[in-house]
Amino acid sequence: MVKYGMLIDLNRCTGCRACVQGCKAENNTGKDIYWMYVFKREVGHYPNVDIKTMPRPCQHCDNAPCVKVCPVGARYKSATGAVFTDSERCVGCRYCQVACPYGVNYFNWKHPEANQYFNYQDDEGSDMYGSADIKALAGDAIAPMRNPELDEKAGAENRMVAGGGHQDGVMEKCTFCVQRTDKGLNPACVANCPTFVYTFGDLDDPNSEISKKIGSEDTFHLLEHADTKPSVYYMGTPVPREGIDIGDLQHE
Amino acid sequence: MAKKLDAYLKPMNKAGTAFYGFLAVMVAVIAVGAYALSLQFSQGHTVSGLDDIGAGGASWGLYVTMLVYFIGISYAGISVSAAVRLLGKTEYKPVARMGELLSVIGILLGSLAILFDLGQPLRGLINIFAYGRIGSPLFFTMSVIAGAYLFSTLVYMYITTRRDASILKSKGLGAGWLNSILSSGYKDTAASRQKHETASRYLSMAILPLLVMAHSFLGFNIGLTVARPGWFGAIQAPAFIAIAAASGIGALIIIVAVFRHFHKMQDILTDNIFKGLGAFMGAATGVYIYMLIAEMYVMRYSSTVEEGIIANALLFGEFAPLYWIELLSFAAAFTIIFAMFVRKSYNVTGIVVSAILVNIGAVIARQLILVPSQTIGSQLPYAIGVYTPTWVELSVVAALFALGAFAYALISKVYPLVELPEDVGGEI
Repeated sequence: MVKYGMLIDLNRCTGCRACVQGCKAENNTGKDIYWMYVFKREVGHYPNVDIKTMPRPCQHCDNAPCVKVCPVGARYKSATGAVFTDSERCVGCRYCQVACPYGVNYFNWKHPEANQYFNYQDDEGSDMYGSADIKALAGDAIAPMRNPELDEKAGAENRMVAGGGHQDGVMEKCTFCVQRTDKGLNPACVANCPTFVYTFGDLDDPNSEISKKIGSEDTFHLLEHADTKPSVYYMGTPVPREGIDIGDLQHE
Repeated sequence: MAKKLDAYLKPMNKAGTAFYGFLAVMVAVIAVGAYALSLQFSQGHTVSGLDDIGAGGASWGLYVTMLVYFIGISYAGISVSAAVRLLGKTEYKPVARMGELLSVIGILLGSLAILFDLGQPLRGLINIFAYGRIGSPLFFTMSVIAGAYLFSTLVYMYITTRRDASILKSKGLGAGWLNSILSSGYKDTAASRQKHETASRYLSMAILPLLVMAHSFLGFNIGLTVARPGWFGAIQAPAFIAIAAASGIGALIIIVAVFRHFHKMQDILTDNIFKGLGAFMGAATGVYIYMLIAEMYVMRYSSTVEEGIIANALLFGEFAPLYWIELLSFAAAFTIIFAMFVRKSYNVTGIVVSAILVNIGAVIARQLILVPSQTIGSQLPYAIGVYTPTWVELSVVAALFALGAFAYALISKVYPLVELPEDVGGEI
């Protein structure tokens, strides 16, 4: 069975956040919800300053604290190595959110129609490119559309894990784009990165690109001491606590 | 003997305007809370001050604080009843039933608090039964507490209540329908009383491990999360037991004092009872102060970066006002009780003031355990945030208190909250 993993090369990351945009377009996440997030900090003292960036998807841990604490088993470790949230079963207790050391969980505090950037509803004036609202905003450009694959069951266990309608009162987080990996595609962040920061593949396959890179490069995990055994590996230098946050996305 | 019975049934006399006025105020508070809750259902939890931890907010806030507080004060019931039945401290019998009712109401209010905190409450009720995972501390807590603890306390109340119900029924006092249900099949013979005493004794023994498990696991919900500096650690389980003991007995003291004052039951709810409850509360408060000091000492001497940030914020930073109010409340409460014992002069007013201070400290303590570890305690460099409860959360919490007071007051009118002693009522 495949075991999905991701390698993030921080030496290549420019902080352009195309991965964040790709994730949003593919998964239709609402405002203030960043399944893929990129930390951006300025470190040092002028004139010796540097900008450090670090993408942070869900780490899809093998020893996931969020899976351990879910009272109803909505958060579970798939046979393919990803950690999913069954949005039909989630009761919104938010224990996974407080139990995650990486802060990758997002709760739907509002109803989806109150939290989207566009009006995705079918209404007068809409066609295959989206509703009238979207077209007014996008003009001639091809605008992000509502992704119908999110409403279907996905993953090896065939549960409602692709995000669904971002239903109010339910948790969500990065799914390694399960609706794409089910079809043999890479996640949206991987596919969208212009500088080849991401390597995605099968950790159980010794001949996969990711396995070869992990074998030959110096890699590390975030928060190793927490012993969560993430599926996401990093190369380079992580974003430090010092410095100034210059890229905070998560406040409206 | 008829006079003695009357002394116990005084609270059930015809209610005056003061009582109805009190009920009306409680209903008004509940109504405001219900409206606030309706907004939460229609608009989502965005009407609260909660936010994602990644965005610097607190995801577990006032509702979870109140869940822990209400479950905490449910400690009062079985501990008093266990003292009576297992340690033979029969002088506390008059307050045993009040404690048990406090337990039951506390657990129910705590369950409501968590239900209102869920994003999908109806689904929560169903899925907890359909899909509950024993490995989750949250599920284990709510099934052990809400299930076993509540059920056992209710059974315990039933067993200890049958004699009183049959006496009332035979004299045509109280609510006839309630007395019939509770006393059906009961004969007030010496042998029967003995059997009931034995049953309550064994039930007390069985409930005690539940008591320890319930409050320990409430603490483990916090203590097992490696993600949260300030939460993670073994001290949470025993600390939660200590504060539950202190605040639970404290809440019981306040309720008994109110009862004693309004129904003039100084002869039954004696100063001696307050002295004993006060002593236990003082001891538990002392234990909790010790744990607070131990925790802070470790965090300040040598800790992780995040624990140091939290300790600093508690002692000198944004959380300092609340933290120092908490510490001073506990210290003052402990000092009052300690001074009484040193000087060997006890007064009920002082003990009640202590009890109020302990409960204020207990609510603040829960809030300060929960919030800083979320808003400023992230291990990755997220933005720092703040959490301020909105009027919605405050209204719902006020409504929960009002609901508890309303239920307590109403039940006191239809049923004697002080257990009728063996020599009152006589054989039937």
